Amino acid sequence: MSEVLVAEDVRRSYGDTVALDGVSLSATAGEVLALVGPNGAGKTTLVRALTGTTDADGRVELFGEAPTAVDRDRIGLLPQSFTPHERLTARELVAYYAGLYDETRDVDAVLADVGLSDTADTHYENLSGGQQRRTCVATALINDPDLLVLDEPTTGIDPAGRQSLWELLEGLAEQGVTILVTTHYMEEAQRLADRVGLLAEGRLVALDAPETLVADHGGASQLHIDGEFDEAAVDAIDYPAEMTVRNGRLVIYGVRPESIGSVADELDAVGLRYDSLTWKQPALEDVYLELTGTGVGRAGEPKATVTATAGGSR
Amino acid sequence: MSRLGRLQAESRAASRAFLRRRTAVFFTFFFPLIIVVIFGVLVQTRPGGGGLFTREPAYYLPGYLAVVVLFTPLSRVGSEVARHRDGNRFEKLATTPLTRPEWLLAQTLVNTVIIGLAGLVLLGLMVVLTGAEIVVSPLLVPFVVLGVVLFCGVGAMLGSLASSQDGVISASNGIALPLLFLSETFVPPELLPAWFPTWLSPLTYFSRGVRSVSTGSGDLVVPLVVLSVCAVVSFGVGAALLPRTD
Amino acid sequence: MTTVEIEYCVPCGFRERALDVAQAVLNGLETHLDRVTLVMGDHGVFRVTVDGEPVYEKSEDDYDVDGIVRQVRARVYTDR
Repeated sequence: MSEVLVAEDVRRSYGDTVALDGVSLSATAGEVLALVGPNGAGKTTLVRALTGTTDADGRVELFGEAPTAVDRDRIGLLPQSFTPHERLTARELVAYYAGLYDETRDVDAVLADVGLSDTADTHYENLSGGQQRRTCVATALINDPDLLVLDEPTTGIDPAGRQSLWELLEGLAEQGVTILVTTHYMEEAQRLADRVGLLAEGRLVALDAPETLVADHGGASQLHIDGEFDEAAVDAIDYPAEMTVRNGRLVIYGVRPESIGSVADELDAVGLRYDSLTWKQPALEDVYLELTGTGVGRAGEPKATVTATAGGSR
Repeated sequence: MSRLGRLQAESRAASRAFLRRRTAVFFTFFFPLIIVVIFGVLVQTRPGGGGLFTREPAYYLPGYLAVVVLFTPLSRVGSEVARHRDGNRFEKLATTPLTRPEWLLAQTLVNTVIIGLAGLVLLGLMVVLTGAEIVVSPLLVPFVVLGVVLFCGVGAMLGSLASSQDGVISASNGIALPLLFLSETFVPPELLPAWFPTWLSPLTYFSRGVRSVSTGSGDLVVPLVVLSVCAVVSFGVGAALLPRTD
Repeated sequence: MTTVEIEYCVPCGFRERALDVAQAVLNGLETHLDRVTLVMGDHGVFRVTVDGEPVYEKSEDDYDVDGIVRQVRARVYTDR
């Protein structure tokens, strides 16, 4: 398995803020590597270091060469919050970027791959969020790259658009395209990636297959009880398990399926109202929480969680 | 494809994007009309010979041309650079074979064509509205082209250095207006204090060159040489300042 | 990322049934499921959905825990 991408102890600071604090990772051909972390964790800086659009200390190699020395045809990049000419049509945009390369794929073939055949002549500004992003992915595919780099490709688009983009990326992965994708949607990383790197404050706190990460660091299964809970509520419950409140939702760790009933009884006994009970396997979000102590909120903002331990230990 | 192909692709996209911004197109061509009407028709020359426009109409051709050659590149290339930065397009372009000088060259080519046309419109208006007798010679072309290259370079600098798009527009106006009136375009040097160094402004060489062509008298070589040097330097600095990320 | 949702009518006292179904589904399919949610409802509702697709509706099918688990398993495996 040839190493497509190697980074060793990559460091980058802007003034006195450290954006990258010694990141090392590698990606092999055909692999989908996701980098996950909240805004400001260093995702974009790392992408720029890897594609050579910003200088960084440490060693970075693409296909065995320095990023800036690599033949441009081999990389396809979709930068973060990328907006092309709005008054060009999807076809004109893809054709424009095609014109910048010597050999490229057929424009209409790429438009078909991203599912834009019938909206190819619509101006970019009149396309939906999902269609716009798929147009942008098409501009990164036109030169048939060996490495596709997508910096937060689904940020800011509606769930349906995000869903369609995931399916597109899954299709590309199946064709063996090596993909480096950054995101702050945990679900996206868990679904798309062969391996996930968790970034926090410029450091890579973990790098492994999602299942392994969840198994090693995900912790026990959880029972999420939706309602309006606070400290006092947690103390009132007499149930031997670790509990915590995350934005008003009560989370109880390590509840076996057969004991959900007894938890429900205890809640009734204490007179706590709730709207729903959700039994949940640990997921990447919990891994990130475990390893960094902060969650990766909906908007990707780091969020501290309120933790209180009641009753027995886990 | 190589370089020519890249330039073609960039120029085509740039010109399409420009032509589809109707307001930009309208003002690029309407602006010279307003200037000629105001300065050429409305502002009368007082019988006694005083006042702003005492020289014969043909004297002011460089002034009118300068309006287009100066303002259009500054604002157009400046705002195009700002737009590219907002959309992270330079970061995208940095991973394509297109180099930054090639990008700026393509923008300059498009602007040269646009301004060439606007210049022709201007010439026509001048002759029709102000009755100027102008020696129309192909020698005007190098001066217009060099002027456009020069101010596209400056526009690129403004776009790279200013933080936002409206920062660019105000900066370009802030530079263009004083430069316009201090470079022997509308205001002959004798109306300025003797010590005032109009020779410092590159636009002065544009005015002198165009004037010597259109009036058939005056030195051509020095303005052409100086303007060429300024254009090359400005293009080089402008391209070098273009960002690789945002 | 399979999600099973069990909506049950609280005033009708369907909680026990909902807990039985939840427990049965989890015991059978725990490793394949991402989450199982019990949602409080009323007006006699008792519905089981997998990723939003209904697999059991009290008004249409008769109540049989193993049957429901089979339905959920069938749905989960078609997704894989």
